[in-house]
Amino acid sequence: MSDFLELQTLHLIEKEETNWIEFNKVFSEEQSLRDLQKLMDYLEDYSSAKLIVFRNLDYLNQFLNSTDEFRNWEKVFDRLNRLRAVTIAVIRGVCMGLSFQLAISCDFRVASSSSSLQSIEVKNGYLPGMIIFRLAKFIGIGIAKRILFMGLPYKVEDAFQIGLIDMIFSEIEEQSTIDKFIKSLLPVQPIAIQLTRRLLDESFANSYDETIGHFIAAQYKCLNPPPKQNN
Amino acid sequence: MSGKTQTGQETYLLGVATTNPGDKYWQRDLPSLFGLQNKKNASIFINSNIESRYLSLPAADDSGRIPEETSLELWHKHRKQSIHAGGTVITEVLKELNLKPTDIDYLVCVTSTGFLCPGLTAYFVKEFGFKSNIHRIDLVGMGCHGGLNGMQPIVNYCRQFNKGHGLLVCVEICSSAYVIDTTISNAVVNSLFGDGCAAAVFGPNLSAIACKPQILGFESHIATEEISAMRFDFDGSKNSFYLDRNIPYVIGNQVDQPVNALLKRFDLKIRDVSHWIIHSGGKKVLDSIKYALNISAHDIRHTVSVLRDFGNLSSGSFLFSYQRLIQENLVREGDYALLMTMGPGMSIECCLLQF
Repeated sequence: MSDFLELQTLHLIEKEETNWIEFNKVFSEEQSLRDLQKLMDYLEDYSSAKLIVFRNLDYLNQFLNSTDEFRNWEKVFDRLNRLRAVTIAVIRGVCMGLSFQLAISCDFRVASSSSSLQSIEVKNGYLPGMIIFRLAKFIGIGIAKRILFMGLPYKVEDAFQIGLIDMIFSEIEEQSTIDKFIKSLLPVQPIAIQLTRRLLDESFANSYDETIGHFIAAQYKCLNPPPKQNN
Repeated sequence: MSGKTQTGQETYLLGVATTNPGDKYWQRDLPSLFGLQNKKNASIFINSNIESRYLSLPAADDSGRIPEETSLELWHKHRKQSIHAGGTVITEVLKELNLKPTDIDYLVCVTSTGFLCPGLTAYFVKEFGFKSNIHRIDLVGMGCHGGLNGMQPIVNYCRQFNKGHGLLVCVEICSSAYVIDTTISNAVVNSLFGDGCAAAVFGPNLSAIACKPQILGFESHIATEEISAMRFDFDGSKNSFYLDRNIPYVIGNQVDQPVNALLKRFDLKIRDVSHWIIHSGGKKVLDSIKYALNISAHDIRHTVSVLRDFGNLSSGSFLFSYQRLIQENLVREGDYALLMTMGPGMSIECCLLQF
């Protein structure tokens, strides 16, 4: 344990190359947002972690009420999606509302065998956030419609089958499963991770002709470290 | 220059005017007009992400090709079109701001597509009746990044003297610097550049008009190990521009250095910049900058649209993109904007604005 960030709704522990972020209190949505914004500032400006693990997401099973709230939260999820570190969400129990959005914004999801994913927003007459954009990329429009239109809990085994969950753990094997998953990702090359994630994300929207130019630009950045400044 | 330590008059970018001299050409038609039979050369035009450009070219001859112009004809074209187009944007921007030529204390003209002596500033002083004691600079040969270099002395002057106004005029008749042949190198250049002219006025925001951005600071970056990567070669009669194929990626690899240095002086991060106004240098360099700074396609939409509609307009290109940002009417008070130009040297120039 080498570093520590303590906020009202979460704390961060830095251990070797991994940041462990644990949500630990239910506060107002505003406070959760403020803390996650501070966390993003820290991760972008100070952290050298190559892996970021979010735990106790159920404290974020909160729902938003205004377009301004959705706009502000989406900025956080977008920042999460631009980090140079690999991001992993650990899911236990029911994952819904903001925790579902955060989990889908991460690169990977590891879930307990008794957990489920659920989105009830469309049933309640509004949109669940930019998960409508991200979810379809993971699992296709058909299954995304099923999850969002029906609003029923989506069991973890089913989610694993379609690639929405990357690994399942039994209650007593949580830590060893996460450690094993992290080990499979090492070594992490931050610039290559950031650029690969972006190119993958854009692959659904861009043409091949457009992407080949992006790929060459990104590859040049990976293979040619910038020279040091003289001043 | 150091950002927050600067004192004196707050200086604003008050207004911009642009024009494109010459005729509009569709990019798809240009390979045959230039007589390029080679499919590879023609494909460079088609894959440039440019749809149209304005060029000052002679009419096609009976064979359907644009006749080659002599170096003297190119020189005359630059002189005529520069004075005419420069005059157009000066008239427009002064009119928009309700200023008289005698309100201008500092005049900077930027061009790299032709050489005049006396320089363009002298012609404009004569034509418009600017004050005989006006401060002026003719900035010739700096290339695509020259617009921001020209802006710096104006802003410094305006900061020093209350109520001073400065006028920047970027005049690039790129079709005066064409060498039409079958080489890949010239095909790249001929597929890219367009004629364009822009003027901008700087000074105090006396009427406190909303959404006029204050100029906060500049940052330069020159990497002379790449001094040969973008250059004019004199072939005995004409200047032929050369662009190294890897220079877009070299720029991308170093662009974070001036950007972060400038933002750091104001305790800002890349995420704090709401608007990116980047020189429309070409598809490759825009791809490279986008991935280097981790900014989105939306962030560079105006730069991309200026490239699409006009090609690379060299020194004035960033003012065309800025104009589109203003016309979009989305900027909010307090927003930060970063202007960036890139060019020979290899050089990257940055300027931070706040609305």
